[in-house]
Formats: sequence, structure tokens, C-alpha cells
Amino acid sequence: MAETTPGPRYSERSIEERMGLLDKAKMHAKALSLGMLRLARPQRITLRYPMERPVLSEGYRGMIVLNNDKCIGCSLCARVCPAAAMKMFNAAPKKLRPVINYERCIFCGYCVDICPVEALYHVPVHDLVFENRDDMVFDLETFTKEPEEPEHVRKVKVVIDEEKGLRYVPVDSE
Amino acid sequence: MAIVERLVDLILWPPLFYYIIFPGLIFVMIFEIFLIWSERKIAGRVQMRYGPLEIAPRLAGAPQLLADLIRYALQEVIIPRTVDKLPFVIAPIAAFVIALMPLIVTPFSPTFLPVTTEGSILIAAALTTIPPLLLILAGWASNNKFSLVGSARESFLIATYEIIILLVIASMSFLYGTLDFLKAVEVQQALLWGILLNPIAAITYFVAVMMGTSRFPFEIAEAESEIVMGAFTEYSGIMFGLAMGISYARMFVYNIIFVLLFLGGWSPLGGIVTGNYILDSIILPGASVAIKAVLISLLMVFTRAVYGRYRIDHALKGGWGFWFIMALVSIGLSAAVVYLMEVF
Repeated sequence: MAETTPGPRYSERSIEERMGLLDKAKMHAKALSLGMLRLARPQRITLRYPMERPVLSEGYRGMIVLNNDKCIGCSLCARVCPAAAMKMFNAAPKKLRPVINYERCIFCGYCVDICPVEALYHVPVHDLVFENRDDMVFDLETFTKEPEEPEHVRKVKVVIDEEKGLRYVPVDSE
Repeated sequence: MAIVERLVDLILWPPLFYYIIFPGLIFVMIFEIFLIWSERKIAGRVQMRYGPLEIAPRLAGAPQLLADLIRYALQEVIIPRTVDKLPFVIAPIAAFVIALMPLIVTPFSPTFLPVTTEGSILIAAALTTIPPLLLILAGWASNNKFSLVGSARESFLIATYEIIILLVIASMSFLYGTLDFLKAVEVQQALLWGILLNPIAAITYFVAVMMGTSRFPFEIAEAESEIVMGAFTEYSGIMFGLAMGISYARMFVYNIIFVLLFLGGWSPLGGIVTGNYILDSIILPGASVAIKAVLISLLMVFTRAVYGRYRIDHALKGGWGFWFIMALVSIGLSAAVVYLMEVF
């Protein structure tokens, strides 16, 4: 019976029964020496975010931008929006155009998916700053303009490294 | 110019210089700032992070601690309505001052000490035992459950580590046959450093000091993730800054004692004779003692990066079940060494 059924995953005996004094001293020495090793050769995986940013993948669901020339004013984006962030308004007589409210938007991308003429698209920017909440409600002019990338940003590519874990390889921005 | 000369005279007046500048208040403040910064940097380095960096990245975030100090100094000190005001206010201040008090008898060179006495080891050991009592007082006066739990834990720990530290100090003074730091250092210079004469005592003292000054893995009395700041939960502003500095100041004092008892005091640099009195009697030996103490302190703060926190019963079990016995063994080892010295 003992061979067929696996035992409990944790040891039921206390740590004193499992380990003698010498084992404990060895474990302490092991932990401290590993700490010393890391102190001598640090393996940092911190991304210093605002100064260096990862290159975002294709199809990243960032901010949404409207291509005003393509839009046919069908209102599908406003209908599908689960957070009611999109709203149609009359830009001119018989010319409906969507605008977006980033207080509500949940970046689900349904509006981009449903758009029949691909007038809406994502840009790989997700961290704009607004001075007040009224600025988060975009009008047609701001909604058609792509948000600008901040200057002095190092672009890095995230690479999974077998030894180190994560590595950031710098990419030339342009 | 007469005023400037008088001021310089006043600053260099030995008692004032000793209490305020070199091993005293200002040096301990700089030491604490350096030590807290290096603690955060070491923990960051080991744990795959950077540590403080945003303020002046080229200086590796060193001004961060100055910024913290300024913030503490300018913050409002809130005294809650439910506390017992007098002990609440007195406790951290008195604890910080008394934590520095053993420095009056710890020599930094054969001539650089304000109080010369036969029983300086005894006085230093006695004075180091007082600040934890004031910590308990602070927790009691705070009228807060976290503070009470913190002081209860501290009072459990005091009974463990104080006895170990006092026994180890007793074993070393037994080994040197004196209760005077000066003579203890002389014996080490003539014979061997104490850490080689009695390594068990050195290790036991090291661990007991980590237990006493709430370094990891014995950071039980001010466990941040369990009981906000232990006994000092209710403090704010400069009082909190002082309260946070108490354990570092105590660690500094304990490490000075460690250097004097185990690491040969002013041994390597103190022997150099250049002819300049101030250089010979203060700067070189003082620097050698201080650098050794800082290195030992860095070793103590390094453990924060490696260990988790023991539960209180584990720490007490380790203290009474192992390190207390090791302290008794160190007395036996001292007796053996003394016997061997008599024989040869």
C-alpha cells in the first residue's frame, strides 16, 4: 500500500526531525553564499519603465485612432462598445462620426474588430496623461490624431534568457 | 577672528567632539544614512532589482535617504488623543540617546576616550540593555494593538538575546582577565584577535546582536508585514525617524563592542606613528575601528536580502535551545584558552 499511494506533498515531520544541526548549517551557508553570488554578479530584471519601454507586439490593443476619410458613419462601433465609451455625433449634416471617452474605454478592441471599412485602428501607446477628466473625452480632432511618442525613450526588446530569466535588448528606434 | 577660534576650540574640546561629532551623534547619523541606503541597495541587488535609483541615478540613488530624512524632519508629529503622552514622547528620544550612551566608555584609541574606568566593558554592556525597555514603554504608552504586540514580542526577545550577549561578553572578559576595553585590546595586540581565540563567542555574539537589533531573520518585533512598525506604529514625523534609527544606532554600538572585543580594536592602523598627534591618536585608530564596525554592520544588513522572518517561537527556540548553550560553551572555551595560556 505504501508503494502505490503517494505520500503527502509536505513532510509531516517537523523540521527538527528532518534536519540535523549540520544540515541546517549547510542550508544557511548555501543561502548566504547564493546571496553573496548575486551581490557580486547581479541579475537585474527591472525594466526602468518610463525611460526605457518595451517594443509592443503587433496587434497590441492600445489607444484607438479614427481614420476620418475611411469612416462611413455606420455607428456599429458605438453599438458594439460594451462600456458605452463610443458615441456618434453629427460632424456635418448627414455625416455621423464616432468620438471616444477614455474614462469609460476598457480597450477591448470590439470597435476596431467590427468596423467594416477598417477606419479604426490601435496604436501601440497606452500611457497618455490627461490633466483633467474632461480631456479624456476626445473630440473628432484629437480622435483622428495619433498620440505622439515621448522623447528620450530607449526602446528595448524583451528576450527570454535561459540563464538570466529576462533580458532587454536595446532596439534602435528609427 | 577671535570668535572663530573660540568656536574651533569649542568644537575640538574633547568631550564635545566625542559626544557630538566623531563617534557621537553626527557620525552615527551619517552611518545610519549610509547603512540604510546600502541595506536597500544590497537587498535590491540580490533580489534582481535596483534599489533606490530615481533621485540622482549617477550617485546610485544616494540622496534618497537625505530626502527621506528631510521629509521626516518636516512632517507633522501627530500625538494621538488616546496615548499616554509623557512616556509616548519620552520613549523614542530616551531610547536613541541611551542607545548611544555606551560610546562614553568605548575607546577609539588608547588616548581617545572621555571616561577612563576599570569597568568599561561592564558599563557598556549594562547601558546596551536599557533601550529595549524604552521600546516596550513606547508600545505600552501607544495604546494600539500593533504596538502592544510589538512590545510583547520585543519583551520575549530581550530575555533571550540579552542573556546571550552578556554571557558572551562575560566569557571574553574572562578570557582577557579584565573588564576594561583598553586592556582587552592590549591583550589582543599581544596575543591574537579575539575572533581567533574564541570563534564560538564571536559567532554567538554576532547572531545575538542580529536578534537584538531586529535584523533579518529576527526582525520580529517590528515586522512590517504583520504588525505595521511594532512598538512605533503610532509615531510620525521626526519621532518615527528617531524610532527607526534606534535599532541602527544600537547595532553600531554593539559592533563597536564587537570590534573592541573580537577584532583587535585599532589593531592594523593604530600602530602607525607619523608624529602628528591628532592623526596618530584620533584619525588612524578611530578610522580603523569605525571601518571594521561598518563592515560588520554591512554583513548584518546583508542578511535582509537572503532570509525570511522567523516566527517568534522559532526565534526563541533557537535562542534558548542553541545559542544560549553556545554562549555557555564559549565560557568553557575561554576557560580552556586561559588554562592553555597558563600552561605555555
